[in-house]
Amino acid sequence: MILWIFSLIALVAVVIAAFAGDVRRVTLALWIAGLSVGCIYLTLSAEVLAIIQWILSTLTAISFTFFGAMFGEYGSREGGTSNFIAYFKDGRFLLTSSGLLVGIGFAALIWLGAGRIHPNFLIVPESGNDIAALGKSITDHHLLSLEVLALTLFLALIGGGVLARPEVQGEVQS
Amino acid sequence: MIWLAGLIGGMGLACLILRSTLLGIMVGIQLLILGGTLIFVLAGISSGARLEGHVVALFVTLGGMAQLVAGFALAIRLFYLRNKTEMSELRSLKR
Repeated sequence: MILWIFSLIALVAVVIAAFAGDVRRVTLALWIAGLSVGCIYLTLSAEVLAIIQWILSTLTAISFTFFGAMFGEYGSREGGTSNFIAYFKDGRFLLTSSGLLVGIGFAALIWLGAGRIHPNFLIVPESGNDIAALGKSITDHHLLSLEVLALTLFLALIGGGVLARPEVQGEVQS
Repeated sequence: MIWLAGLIGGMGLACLILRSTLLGIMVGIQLLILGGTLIFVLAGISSGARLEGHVVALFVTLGGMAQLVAGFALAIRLFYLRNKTEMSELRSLKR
């Protein structure tokens, strides 16, 4: 039962995050969606993932708030529906409905392709809830993936610093 | 449950199509990654490889952070040079 409550909260939050015009609401909805998915992980006995998801969702929401405020978008509206006539006339309605259709089509594709989950999927096997086993699996079987991930994050950190450097001489502002 | 994961990813895809600013695009990608990780966890459970699903979902979640860092860095760069964060302005960064 609690799984379906979290699923419903996640679904509502995701729809708001995807379609709300207000950046403030989008950030809040994204945070709630991340927290709800973390709670779903918890009910599926993926505790490590749940904790990581909660931490990353909170950090993401904070950074979206800061950067939104910095770019002057926080509190502004992007694609809102305050003027309904303009909303229909300038093609945003068509864009929104086509986006919604693509989203639902993608969901249907996943649902049809993934097959059925066992009805007792919430019952965790004894060996399936072991954090030590997760760490051992990563170091024993996925060490290369871990190294590639570490390198990717390191490069993103360095590259982000280089990209976000202040304006240098020779670059003309248009 | 799979439908929920697909719907979260689908809404992320819809958000990617709809938004025009870099922040909006990044929200779409975050939703897509959120749906993707949930699919991996559920696929691991349904196929009996519960641990593998968790490991892959962990990698995807942490890989998503690299995307976020790169996206914010691009947005800052664009904001420094053009004073806006529209996706259409990204092309103007090309030398």
